[in-house]
Amino acid sequence: MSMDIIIKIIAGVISTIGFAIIFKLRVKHIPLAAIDGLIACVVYFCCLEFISDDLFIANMLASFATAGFAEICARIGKAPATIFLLPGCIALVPGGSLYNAMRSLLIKDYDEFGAQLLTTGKVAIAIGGGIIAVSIIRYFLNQIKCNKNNKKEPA
Amino acid sequence: MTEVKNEEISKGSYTADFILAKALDIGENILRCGGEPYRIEDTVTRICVAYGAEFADIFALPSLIIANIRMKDGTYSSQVRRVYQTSNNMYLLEKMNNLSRDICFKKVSLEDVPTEIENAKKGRPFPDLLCYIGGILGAGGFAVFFGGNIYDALVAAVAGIVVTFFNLHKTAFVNQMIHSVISSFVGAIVSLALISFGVGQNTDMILIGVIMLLIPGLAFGNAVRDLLFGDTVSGIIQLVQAILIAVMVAFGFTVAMMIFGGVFS
Repeated sequence: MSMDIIIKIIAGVISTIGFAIIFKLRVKHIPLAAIDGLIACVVYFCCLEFISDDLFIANMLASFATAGFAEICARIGKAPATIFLLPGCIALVPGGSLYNAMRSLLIKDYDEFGAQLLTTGKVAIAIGGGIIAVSIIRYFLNQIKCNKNNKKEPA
Repeated sequence: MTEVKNEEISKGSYTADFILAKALDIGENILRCGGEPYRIEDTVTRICVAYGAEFADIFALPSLIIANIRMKDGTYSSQVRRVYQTSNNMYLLEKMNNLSRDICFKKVSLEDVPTEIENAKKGRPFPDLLCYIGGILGAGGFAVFFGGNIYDALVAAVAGIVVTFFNLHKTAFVNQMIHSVISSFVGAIVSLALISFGVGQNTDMILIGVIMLLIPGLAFGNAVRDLLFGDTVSGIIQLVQAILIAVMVAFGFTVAMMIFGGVFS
């Protein structure tokens, strides 16, 4: 991994901490949220580097990892998973492509505008897809847990 | 005396209206501080069922909660709550979540709910001034994240302070759209002015750093999540809201860039 990417990952973690403060997390939850942001950045850049340069797959896997770790954080910190997911995912938000879309609109480059807008939508769907995958897994795990509990207490 | 009190707390001693009103107080506050609709439906249902409701039909939208409960004795209650403004306050969300759990396990009685909510609202995880540091770290970090250098981060951080000021005084604005336009316009003006003084070099990176503070980025993700999860209506509402705000932010930025036409060729 090049130095450039390491700097980017550090910057991503710093901005995750910033957003954790903006979202008013309790101080004791901020380190966990920062680790969640770190996971998001590392997975994202590793995917782009080693697996595929497709933004959809990278964002999907990164948001999947982030949401999965947020669930673990929720168990550790005894708080809803959203608290860790919101700041953790913030580094994946397609702000860059949205800005590029706006910029191309301003210089009347409509082809580029459409392409960047589609990228923004694609990334948003990828992030949502990653999060939903974790919710579905959690749902099934809960179902299994409930079934076990019901069997344990027949009387 | 204690025996009487215990009897009052036991199931079925509250009227349906009372139980639903207290449950909706909590649901409303969760919605206000940025909880997802399904979380509200779940919380209100759990509280009502814990206090003896047989059926609980709760439907939550990003700005509205519709609820109807039917008790075992056949009495029923239906109430509606309208929520006008939401913000992201994870501290209050966590407090409300713990409060609702305590209520379900009968650690907190329903009469104490208003005072508990008041206490939770008074609490702050840290002073409000620290939010500015959040803005500095957020904007500066993203300027570097998207490929800027340390001077770009500095400019973005200054603009981040301005944007955070607007975010903290959100309630002073008439509506969300005007707030988005004005805060993005001022944020872009500040950063473009600093660039024209020669502080930062990469206009794009700085402006992306500022834009990340403004766009409802996670609202897109949340909207898609809700849509895929089956909460179609609330997903569509959130999606439309997010797109509108993004357009408004783009509008504010565009106007600022047109004013600084020389910088942005």
